[in-house]
Amino acid sequence: MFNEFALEHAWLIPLLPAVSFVIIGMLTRSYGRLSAAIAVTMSTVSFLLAIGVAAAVAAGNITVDAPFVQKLSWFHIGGVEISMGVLIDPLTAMMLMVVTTVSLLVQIYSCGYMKGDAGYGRFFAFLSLFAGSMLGLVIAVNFLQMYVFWELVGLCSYLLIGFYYYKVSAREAAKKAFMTTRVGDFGLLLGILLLQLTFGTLDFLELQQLVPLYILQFGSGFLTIIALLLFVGPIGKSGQFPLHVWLPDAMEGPTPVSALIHAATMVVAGVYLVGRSFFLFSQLPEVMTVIAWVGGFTAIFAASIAITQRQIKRILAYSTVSQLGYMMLALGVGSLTSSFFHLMTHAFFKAMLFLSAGAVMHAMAEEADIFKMGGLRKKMPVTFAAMTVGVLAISGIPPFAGFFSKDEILAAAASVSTPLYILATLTAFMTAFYMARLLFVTFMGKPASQEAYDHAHEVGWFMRVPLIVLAVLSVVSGLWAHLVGFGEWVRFGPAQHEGINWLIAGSSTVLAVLALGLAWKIYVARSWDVDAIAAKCGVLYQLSFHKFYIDEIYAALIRVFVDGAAKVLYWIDVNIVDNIVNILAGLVKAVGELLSPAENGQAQSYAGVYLCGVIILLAYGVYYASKLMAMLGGAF
Amino acid sequence: MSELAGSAVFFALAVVIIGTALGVVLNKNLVHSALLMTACFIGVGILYITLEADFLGAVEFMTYSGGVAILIVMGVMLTHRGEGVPSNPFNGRELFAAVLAAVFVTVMGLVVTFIQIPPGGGFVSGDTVADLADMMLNTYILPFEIAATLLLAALLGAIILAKGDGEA
Amino acid sequence: MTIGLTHYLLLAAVLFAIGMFGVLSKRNIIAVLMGIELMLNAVNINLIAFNRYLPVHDLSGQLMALFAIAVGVAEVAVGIALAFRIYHDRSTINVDELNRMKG
Repeated sequence: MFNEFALEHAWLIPLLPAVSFVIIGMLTRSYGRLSAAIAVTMSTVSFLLAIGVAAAVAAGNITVDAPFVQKLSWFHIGGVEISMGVLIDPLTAMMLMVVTTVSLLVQIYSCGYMKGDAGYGRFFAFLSLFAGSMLGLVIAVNFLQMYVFWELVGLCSYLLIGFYYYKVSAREAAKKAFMTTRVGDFGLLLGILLLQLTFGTLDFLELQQLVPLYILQFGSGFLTIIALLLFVGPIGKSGQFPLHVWLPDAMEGPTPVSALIHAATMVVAGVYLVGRSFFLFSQLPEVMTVIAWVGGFTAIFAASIAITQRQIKRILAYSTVSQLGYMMLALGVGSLTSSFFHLMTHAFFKAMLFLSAGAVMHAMAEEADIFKMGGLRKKMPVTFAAMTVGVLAISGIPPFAGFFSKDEILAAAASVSTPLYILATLTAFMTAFYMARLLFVTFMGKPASQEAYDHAHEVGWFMRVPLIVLAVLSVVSGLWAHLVGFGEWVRFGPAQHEGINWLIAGSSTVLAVLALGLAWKIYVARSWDVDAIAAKCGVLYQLSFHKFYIDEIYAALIRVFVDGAAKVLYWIDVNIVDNIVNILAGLVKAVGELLSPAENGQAQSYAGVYLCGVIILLAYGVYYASKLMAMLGGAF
Repeated sequence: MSELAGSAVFFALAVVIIGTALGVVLNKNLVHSALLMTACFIGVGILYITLEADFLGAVEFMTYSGGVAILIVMGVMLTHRGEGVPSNPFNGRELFAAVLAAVFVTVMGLVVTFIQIPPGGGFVSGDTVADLADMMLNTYILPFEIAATLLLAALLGAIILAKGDGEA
Repeated sequence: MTIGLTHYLLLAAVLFAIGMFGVLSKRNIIAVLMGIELMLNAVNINLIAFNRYLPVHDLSGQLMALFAIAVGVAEVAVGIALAFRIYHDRSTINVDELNRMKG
């Protein structure tokens, strides 16, 4: 019963958070607790509906080959009909579950985390809109609807990253995020427009039918361009190299926002878009190769930066970039299942890691440098436990969630390309190392600052419950999904019946354990001096610590190109445009001075000029009439 | 009236009208100009009569040769500055004005000789007073009333203008 | 030689030109008014001559001339009053001294 209802009313899932945004924004913004209550209530209902949808998908005949669709006409323009609607298939259902779960937990967490903040109500309004936009993106039936929500998500991220708008760094970060993703969105928009021009429709299901026929008829050359343009959007949104620069800066927002952006919402939009239009990408091997290599490179690139970062949220941010690279890599090697499996498990454990980081920073009076923490495990046992679970999960230690999803990605990569497999395995090793570094430095050893340590305390229940729930999910979601046959449902093409590849899984586990041990040796047992190692690595360390100077390179490029163009334009403006204007003005002035004696105030001279005009008109009339006469040959 | 007599009358009138009109604009004495203008209007009135418009000829005598001429002479008197100075001088643009007038006459001469006059003659009324009265009080009653209002307004306006503000 | 419409029109044109000359060249505002009257009369000659020589069926040309005379008379009355007023205020009726419109 409820399942049917939820399925029929799936459009409510994004609508409810949006409604909550409107209510909070218009009415209850100044009443913090009431706003929070509204937001959490709406999210809870959305969450329940998402469960209903998932149950309906699991129980009913809804598969990726036979999705459930509701559509209504949105607008007609020039003979093109654009509809808006709900597209439910196992992919959607899974995304709905993940997004609603994480956003609900984040909102509950925020009740505690944001307590006492002046923008309490505003924060919940933005969170609601963010969740609503993402859910709307997930259920979209066509590219245009998706694009609308895609931009809404971008807007919300701007608002939330710049939440502390009185901080210059927050404003700058918000601007950077918005503008960087705009670069990607531009490519996406071009791709969408080209799709519309080529196929005359943007509907996912219709395109799914049309694309293979098109390729049979015209080949895939043009589609490759379209697909690459489309992929530029996800590069921006999902923080892939080279448009990843905004994501670490996005840490300026409140920590729950980081959790939401980096785990469940904005960044996976790109992955979801590629997954949703997989019918297009999977037909184009060149594009798939590009996706795989972009993902693989991003993964190892970000991981190598994360190793040397000192700020807790920055480490997690680069970890997210790296993990997103993993998901893209999985998509690129054609394994939709493993990509989305990892998306789900990553959503849970990364959200938890961020929330834990938030708890730590909360306890340490907003201190972000991990080397100024230390020894917190006794003071914050719940957070420590959660963090440990998260680290084990992301490192791929069985039986935690990350083990299953990561293993599937590695297996998929290995079956396609050995270099990519090596890349991914190396990344896994580095991931385990830097996550362990984060955990050990923060919670083990001696406190770096006794005063801050004494002040630290375990967080309240509002923040503790989401941590516990997410920790449980991080433990069981991988195994559970593996057991119920995740690949049966979320897939593209035939179901993948791959069991665990014990060789790959075993080797990656061994590597992860080695990495954890290495981190233990360096940061807990202190067998080797950290600074000495850093000094020995020299250039490499500096490169990594300064994020490979990407920001500086961009700044320099902007300086060269934008400032150079500005200089050229300035020269043109001063020397050409201004001169033209001056010449025109001088001309007008000269003519005016020439004519001004004519205006002498003498009515008679005015009358004379007027009569001159009359006579000229008369003369012209005679001339014209005579020509007319001659032409008509005296017909009068 | 014979054809020859008609021509003679017309040319005689033309000479009178043009001659007096030239006198109006060329004379240095404003009073003389006014008197010559009266003579010119009498010539025009006679011309109207040769055009079978006897009522209008009479109107011309009465309003222009009578009323307007008297008004103008009064104006001359009221604004006269005394002896010694020419009362009707040129403003220094007479050459320009003469050229313009000559060009105008040339162009109009071209126009007039150029147009072809449709044959069939015009309308000649046996009793112009009755016919004009009939039209004015039937078909053209509205313009008639408007003209009456205009004259009244002009009269009042002239009085107020001439009287001035401060001398009420 | 038969006198026709052309003769009247030419006469009117000459009279108009003379009036125009007066309007443009005289200093005294009353002389200017006289020029305007000459021009008006030239127009009236045209109207009446048209009524006499063009194929029409009533006296509308003469009627129009009658209205023109009425308007002309009103204009003279107002014009003379204006001249008097100007003379009263500024002690001159020379048109070239009335140049307040100078820009």
